[in-house]
Amino acid sequence: MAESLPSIKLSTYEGPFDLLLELAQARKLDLTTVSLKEMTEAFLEYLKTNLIRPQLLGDFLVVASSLLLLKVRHLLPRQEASEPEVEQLTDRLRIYRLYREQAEKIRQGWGQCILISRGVFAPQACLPAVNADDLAKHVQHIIARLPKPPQPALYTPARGRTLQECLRVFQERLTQASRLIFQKEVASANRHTAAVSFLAVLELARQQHVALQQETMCGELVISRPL
Amino acid sequence: MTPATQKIEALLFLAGEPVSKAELAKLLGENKQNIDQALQELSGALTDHGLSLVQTDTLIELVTSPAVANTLAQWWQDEEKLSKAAAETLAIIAYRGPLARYDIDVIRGVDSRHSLRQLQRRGLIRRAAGATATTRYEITEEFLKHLGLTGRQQLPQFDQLSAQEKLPL
Repeated sequence: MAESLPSIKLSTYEGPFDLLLELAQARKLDLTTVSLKEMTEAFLEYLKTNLIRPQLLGDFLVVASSLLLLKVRHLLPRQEASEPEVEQLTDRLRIYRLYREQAEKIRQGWGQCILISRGVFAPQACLPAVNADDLAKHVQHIIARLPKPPQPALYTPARGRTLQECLRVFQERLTQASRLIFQKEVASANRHTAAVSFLAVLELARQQHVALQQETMCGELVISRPL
Repeated sequence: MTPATQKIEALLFLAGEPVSKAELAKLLGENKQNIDQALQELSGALTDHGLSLVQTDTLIELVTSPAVANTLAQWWQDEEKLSKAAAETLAIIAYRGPLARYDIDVIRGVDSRHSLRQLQRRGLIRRAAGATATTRYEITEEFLKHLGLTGRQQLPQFDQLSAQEKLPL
């Protein structure tokens, strides 16, 4: 029997505080440390079944961990000093609630009674009789009078080695010598090629085509065929 | 009306946009106190008029009054609404501004960068002038105008919610 995934909805909450306040309101709870502990399960459950916007995920996780910390401290004897951030969570929620209330009022009242300044363009202002063709003609005229943009000079940047090329080079070199020293191999190359070569060497090591050894930090990097 | 008040009324009309008190002081060769006094006189004189003064901490603008807003609505409407995030951010800045992004984030429990960018783009908040290391945000006259308010103090419970220390928790 196939297991169905829990249905994931896109979260509509503006943030963890928003969610907590809704949870509290739904259960008719005050914003106290006790009720926060009670809401932890629901909060975590919400995180599991809802898609949180990536930008907010960090903030949700911070609050989730604060809630868990509250629960844990309730179970374990208090030995360390209390974390001010967690203690302040209830205060912060209450402050947030105050402004959230006002925010809702602002949203409701927005644009209901607008004050206008003199500079506003009144829709019934008189315009001279101009039709679209005239405008097009005038715009063409203006464009014709604009100075020509300078032709960009042909510039081809110096081409460095690609990763594939570097990989081939090293593989070939390893058929000629069983042991290579990276710094010597790239001694004559420019920075770009040296960087790409290093990536190639790492890739070869990852694929276990070569073994790497370095005795000292930033010392000689020995590339050899694996045994 | 004193001559200074008359001049200010005329200047604000001519400007058709927010003017700073400092600018007025310079143009009229008056000191800040006289300007403030004149503005109060002007504000009083405009009671029951079709025009009013909208003021933020730094700028003033001559605009239509709330009393006529209904009538004017048939020619001027702003369809763009506020999202919840925008409204929250605005509320915090309106009551407690000017304040830094970090302080807004602490209250909301989320990163407000996106909201702040949007609100700046819409001209509802701006960076507060002043020599501080961090950027602080304040609401603009546009914000007040969209709510039909002539000053921040008219926001509900302004005294309680703007205090930095004791909030009615």
